[in-house]
Amino acid sequence: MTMHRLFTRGRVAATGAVALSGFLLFPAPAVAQDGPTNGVTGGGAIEFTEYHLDNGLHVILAPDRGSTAVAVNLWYNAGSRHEPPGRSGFAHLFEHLMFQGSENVERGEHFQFIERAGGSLNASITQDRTNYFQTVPPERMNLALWLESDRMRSLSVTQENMAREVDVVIEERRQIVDNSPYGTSNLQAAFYAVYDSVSCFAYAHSVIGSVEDLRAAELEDVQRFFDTYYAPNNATLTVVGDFDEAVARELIQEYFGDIPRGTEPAEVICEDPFSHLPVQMEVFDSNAQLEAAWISYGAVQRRHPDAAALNVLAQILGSGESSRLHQRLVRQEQAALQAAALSGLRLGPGIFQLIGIANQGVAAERLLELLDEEVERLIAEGVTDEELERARNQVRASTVLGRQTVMGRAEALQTANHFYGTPEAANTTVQRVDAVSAADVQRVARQYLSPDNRAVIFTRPGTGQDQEDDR
Amino acid sequence: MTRNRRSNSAALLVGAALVVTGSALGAEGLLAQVTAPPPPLEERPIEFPDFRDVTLDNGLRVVILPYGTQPVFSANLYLPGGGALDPADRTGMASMTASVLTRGTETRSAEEISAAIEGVGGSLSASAGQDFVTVSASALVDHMDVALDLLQDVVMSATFPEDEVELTRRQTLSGLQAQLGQPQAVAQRRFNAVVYGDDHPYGRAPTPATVEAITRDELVAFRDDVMHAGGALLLIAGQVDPDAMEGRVRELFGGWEGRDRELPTFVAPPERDEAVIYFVHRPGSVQSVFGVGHLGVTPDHPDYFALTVMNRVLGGGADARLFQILREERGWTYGAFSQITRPADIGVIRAITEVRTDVSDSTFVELLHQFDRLREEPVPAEELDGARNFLAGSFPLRLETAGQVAGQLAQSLLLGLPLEDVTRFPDRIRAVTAEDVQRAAQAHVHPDRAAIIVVGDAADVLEQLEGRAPIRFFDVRGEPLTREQVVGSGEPVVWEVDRLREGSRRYDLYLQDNPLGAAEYTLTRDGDEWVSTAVIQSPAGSQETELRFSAVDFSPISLSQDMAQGIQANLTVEDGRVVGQMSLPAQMGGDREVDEALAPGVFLPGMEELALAVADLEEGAAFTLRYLDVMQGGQRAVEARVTGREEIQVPVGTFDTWRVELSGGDVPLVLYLHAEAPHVLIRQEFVGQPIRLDLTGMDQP
Repeated sequence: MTMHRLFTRGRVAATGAVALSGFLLFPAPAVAQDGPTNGVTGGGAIEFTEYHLDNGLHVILAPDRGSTAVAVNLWYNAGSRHEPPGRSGFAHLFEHLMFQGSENVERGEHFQFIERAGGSLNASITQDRTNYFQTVPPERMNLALWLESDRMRSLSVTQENMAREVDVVIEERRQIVDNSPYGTSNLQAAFYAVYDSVSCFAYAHSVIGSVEDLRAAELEDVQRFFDTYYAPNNATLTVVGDFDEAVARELIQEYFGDIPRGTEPAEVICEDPFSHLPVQMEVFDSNAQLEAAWISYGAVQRRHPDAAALNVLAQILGSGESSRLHQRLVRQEQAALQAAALSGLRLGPGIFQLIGIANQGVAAERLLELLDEEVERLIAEGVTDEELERARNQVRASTVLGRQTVMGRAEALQTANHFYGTPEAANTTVQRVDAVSAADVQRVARQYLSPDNRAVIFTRPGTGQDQEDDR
Repeated sequence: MTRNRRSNSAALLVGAALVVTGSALGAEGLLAQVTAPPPPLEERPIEFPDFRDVTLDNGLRVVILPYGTQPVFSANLYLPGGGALDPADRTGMASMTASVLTRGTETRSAEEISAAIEGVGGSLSASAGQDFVTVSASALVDHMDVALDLLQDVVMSATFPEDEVELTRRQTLSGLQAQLGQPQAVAQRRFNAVVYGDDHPYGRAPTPATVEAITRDELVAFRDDVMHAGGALLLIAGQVDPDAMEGRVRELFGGWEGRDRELPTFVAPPERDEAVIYFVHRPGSVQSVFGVGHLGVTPDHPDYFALTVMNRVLGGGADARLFQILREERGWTYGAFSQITRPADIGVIRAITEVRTDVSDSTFVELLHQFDRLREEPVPAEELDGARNFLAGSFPLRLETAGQVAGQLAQSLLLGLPLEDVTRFPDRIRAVTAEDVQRAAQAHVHPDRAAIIVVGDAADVLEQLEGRAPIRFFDVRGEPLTREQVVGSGEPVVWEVDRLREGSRRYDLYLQDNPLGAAEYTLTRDGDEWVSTAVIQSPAGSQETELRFSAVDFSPISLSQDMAQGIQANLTVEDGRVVGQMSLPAQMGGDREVDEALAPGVFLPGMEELALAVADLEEGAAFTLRYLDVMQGGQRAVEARVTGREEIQVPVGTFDTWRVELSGGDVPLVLYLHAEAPHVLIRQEFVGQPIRLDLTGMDQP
């Protein structure tokens, strides 16, 4: 999953290249009601209600008078997966346009209103959705709701705004892809190489898009994208924290109720995305100082029964110093500076990645050799009870830690709803992980981590011109 | 579906006609569309949580803060002193001690410690800041026993294994070398050195020399001095029962030795009476990094709240003057901010930004002007409201998690500040007026005495800054430079090419003492030309190079290079230009023609080492070596600095060598060059990595 955040202060060049230490993508987490300690009742569970407005806006409310803040979080079912060939980067461009002003809000004011109220805000985009979120002091929940409704209703889609933001996005692309180490390698590993670009263009192109497509964007195309995807029936609004539920319901009806429903978006096609594998390639990167190896295996949808086992596999292979890859590649062989395992599952078919950054003087081929040995060893010998226990504890802990904030809980509910079809899935994820056995982990490793089912990318540093890619 | 175009009408009126509260809506029908931001709902008072505060007999202060909606817990142990206790010739001591603390105890190895804490999904770490060494453990509450046991174990019985010490040393050196390539880090070090001076601990920082000098015994002695209960603070936060937790803490830490704690002594930093530019020359910089400011206030200063509001107005975020002017209006930079620090001793006030090289002078002027503005004009109401509302309004957002609350509490307790500064923070902020801000600026902001640190390429930037203030020069390590060293005397460097000798040398490449590849270099004379050939075999493939340069004046003549992956270069130098062809594989763009100017004194790659072979090497000597970037075009520069003499043993013998540090290239290197001219390479090391190149054979007639 590649995430692009909008604002510089909150900006995370999170194309995966830098986020190698445990950037793990859990399904919407929830903590089971395990044995309470100190009178604690089942950490992580979130109580909520949900309903729909007449115009189709899905609303999830999780009031909690013990919080000190309110999160207003809006997910649009609009991501790069909805972009057809020739229109890559539109969803991300749109994320930028959403801050350029609407009927009652000048350009830049959304941000200023929220900050001057004491809040924080940002937006982010992946292949599968765009989210807009703010955390505000409780008395400013109405401001956040009003701002979201104004831009959903009346965003200023103008030629001037579009031209300006195309320039900004192209600069952003330069910064995170062309000027950052491993930018291009990561795009190859996450998108271009591993997905068939004809049968699954949806996932075969990058979220940031190509310069060519961005420069070719026409105002009508952008308007049409907005009309189709930025409609209440294509959105979920979640409010979490210190608020009165009756007040929230009234405000939501008042601000959002009159926004007309849109047409249902077309289905996304992604068929046989991995039948062209295996592939292997090299990327030359003048910003990188060390070789790197990226292995992307074709995997499953996030709601697939094997998803939890793949999550556990990623933990055991790559999470923490006691993980297999760290122990073997970093500590024992001293071949890698960093090693990671990522279970990047999506709404459509996802991928499972192993990544290693080599130490100076070590070739990427050596990393591949070691990674293959560790995968083969796991397939042959399985995993220990201790490793399984550790993985479960790691998932439970990070789930619970993430639920400490109102925004963390809002994201958990949104993720559950988007990927599993119901926010209630936020309250069963740890159970799903706990149900994974050692045999399950071994099986999914054998089934998915096969040399025939992968794209291998080697990054070679310090040589070569920057890649211009046209996807 | 309608999409209304943005209109200019009255979007800004607060308290406009339509005031919305929950009860104002009728039971049926909707109000007309809300066209202005609604005024705030009713505010709920924020309660700062209670906490238990006891001091054990051994002097350990224990604070237990039950808080939070999730079953998490954290324990943070603070030992006062931190990096400020580092001896001047051992800067980095506290930091290394903290790093090795969790890497082995009397009963557990480093692996066992990681397995134990990660096994329960928790975390354990130790670090040293300027003023405190901090050891932290956290986990879900059902695993708190494991976390607390491990915390006690590393705090009380760490063993500092030799191999872990060396691993930490290598990582630290690697980090320091990497810092030299990060202009923001270089600017920060120089700023602190200048503003605090050499005699104040905050003005000092670890260097490769001090980190190399630290011994394991010294780390253990430092730990013995610092790791005891006297004057330490253990702060535990989360969903914990105070009675049960206090009992557990007494069991684990009650028997810990405690005694009087030696704290750092802080001398008064130097006073400033004029603005001075401290220019750190960094050849090849494409941006100028600015750090502008001076000393601020001590943490308990009564003007702290006025200064906090002032800082928010000046540069405390994107909604602040520096960001709006330098970035949004002028487009000079990606970001510009200001900060006021609050360490145990006196802090600083500073503005920081990175700008395009060509606007360095405008940035200089603008930053000082913004400092002046705070003194000359009261902040207008809208800006003041925006700043106060952000600071006060965001207060509850900083109380969401137990960790956040604990952090605020820790700062208050450790700096000895009144608790009301935290618990009544919003009120204190709202009470600050524009007059308060201006008065505080006049008392504490002095652009006419500022230290102005600029990290950039003097070749591009110096003339923009001439005459604006006195200028002092430094290299990225902080060594003072003369103006001549920075701009040169105008004469090109003369290389004593006559010192070269024909011959060949062979090297082996080692990874942790295992041979991994080999290289052979040969130097032969061909009329008026020297020919240097190299054949290198490494895990990355094989490479053959032929380099030709003049035996008369060392000027470059040609380069022919055949690398793995189908890359070839064939270049010749004619009339001050380099021309030729690069053969590159398709995915690198295919073949390209080369035709560009090659300035006098710029080498073809490979000549840098030969330049050092003929240079006058002595301790402290420094050279900037500029060479053509064959792959991308343009120039690159590496800095070579001779640090001293060292005897080196390699397969072919033992040699007296000059040790030379090379920085600014792709990888920081250390070269050991034969003490006698020509200074052939005896050994090459890659900083921070267990890789080296050693001389294994030499045929020199």
